[in-house]
Amino acid sequence: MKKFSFNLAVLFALCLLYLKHFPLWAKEWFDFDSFYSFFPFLILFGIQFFKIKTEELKKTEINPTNLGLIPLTTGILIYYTGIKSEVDFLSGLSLPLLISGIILFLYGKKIFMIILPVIILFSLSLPIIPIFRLTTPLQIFLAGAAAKILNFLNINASAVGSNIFIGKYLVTIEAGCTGVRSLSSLLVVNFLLFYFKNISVLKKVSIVLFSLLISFVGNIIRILLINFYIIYNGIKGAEGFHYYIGLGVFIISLLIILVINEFIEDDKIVEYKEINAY
Amino acid sequence: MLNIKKLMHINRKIIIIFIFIFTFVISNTNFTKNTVNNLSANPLTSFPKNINGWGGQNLKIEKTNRLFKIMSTREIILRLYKKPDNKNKINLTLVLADNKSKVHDPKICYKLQGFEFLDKKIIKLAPNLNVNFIKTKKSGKEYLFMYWYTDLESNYTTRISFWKEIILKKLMNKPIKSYGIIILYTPVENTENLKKFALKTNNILLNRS
Repeated sequence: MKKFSFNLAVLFALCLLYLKHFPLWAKEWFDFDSFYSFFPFLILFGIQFFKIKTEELKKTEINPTNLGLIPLTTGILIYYTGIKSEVDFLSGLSLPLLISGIILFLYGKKIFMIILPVIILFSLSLPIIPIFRLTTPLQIFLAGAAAKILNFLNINASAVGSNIFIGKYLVTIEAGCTGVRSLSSLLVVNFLLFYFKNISVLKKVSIVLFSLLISFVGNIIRILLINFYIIYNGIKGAEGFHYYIGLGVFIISLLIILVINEFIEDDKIVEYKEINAY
Repeated sequence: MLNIKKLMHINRKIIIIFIFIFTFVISNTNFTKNTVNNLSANPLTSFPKNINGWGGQNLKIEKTNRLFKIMSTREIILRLYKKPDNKNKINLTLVLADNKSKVHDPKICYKLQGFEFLDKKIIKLAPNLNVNFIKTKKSGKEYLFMYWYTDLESNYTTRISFWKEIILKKLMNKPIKSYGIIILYTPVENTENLKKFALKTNNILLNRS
């Protein structure tokens, strides 16, 4: 008879708590148009992470700590409040707390510290953050910037809020057009590529900042291209063009990051050996 | 010794499994049936088109508008009220929904529409009515905004205070009549009329609910 796996039972019990959230989360994770569409990259990161860290995890001493009861209890209370009050943000927020609590309570601090990056990234992938609050100023800024560039090119355009008026046409900068969507995916790809590279933190931060810039500039170009499409072809087919140009900008940004990855070499580690003078 | 350690470890897992299953059951069970949001007697359908001499006209919005992806036409009124002299105009947006996710922060929507927020304060119009009073500007013209949240029992100025009340009521299994927001806006010279109109709207909603 096969041995009963308590680990699986714990995982099952945890999944049971979030049963009604999973369909909604999965929809966001696997929808290209969603801010959370970086989730597949996160799975790749997780696989790579555990492949590299397996040995380290096996060697690490299991030392359960009752400190795990703190995130566990907090997580349970937040979950209960979230479910009862139908506030998805709260019930979603409880998941990273429960995962942290389980790991501390069952395996201890050392193992928790090793897998902390995965917990943090997974927490960010939960579709509970009110993204539109972050994108509103960006939407307004991008509409204004695009209108100014069009004016500079002698095209009559004006921006009101997140709307750009070009002649008889109206182009609205939606939250997804601000670049946060491709930015989230690019940041996770960055993590995937550079987390395991032996380079300084300064280089890693510079690469992240650079991908921020790529995403931002890429989206201004994308908005301008959509505007040009509408100016020359009208509104017909603009929706499809908008989708493909978004995909194109993302692929180009991704290629730039991959090229950087190819050219950045691991930092050399200089070992100082004591030389016995005698 | 090793077996005891292993046993302790399994015990911890059993504790977690038990806690999770217990939490799942008590969180997802309705112990009382009084938390149903009943909007069958929807005050929106009977919300008057004539308020103290202001005549209301529904604003035409295409059914394909994104607004109707979030809520049904039964849950929102978009109306322009004006006096017969045609000078005093007040725009009313009234949402009374069965779900709090349909009640958004109006500052975000209006900023995206191009309203620049110049000055914001909270003013007391009645003992039960504190409202957000905002001076805005769009395309060079100034407007006054007033908005507040309601559950048709009490009014709330901020979304946080509204949500806090909802959470407390839900935790105590108390019924919630509705999730609502009232937004009024008018050209800046119409301040006093806006205040009167807000008071009247509030009385209609709280008395009829």
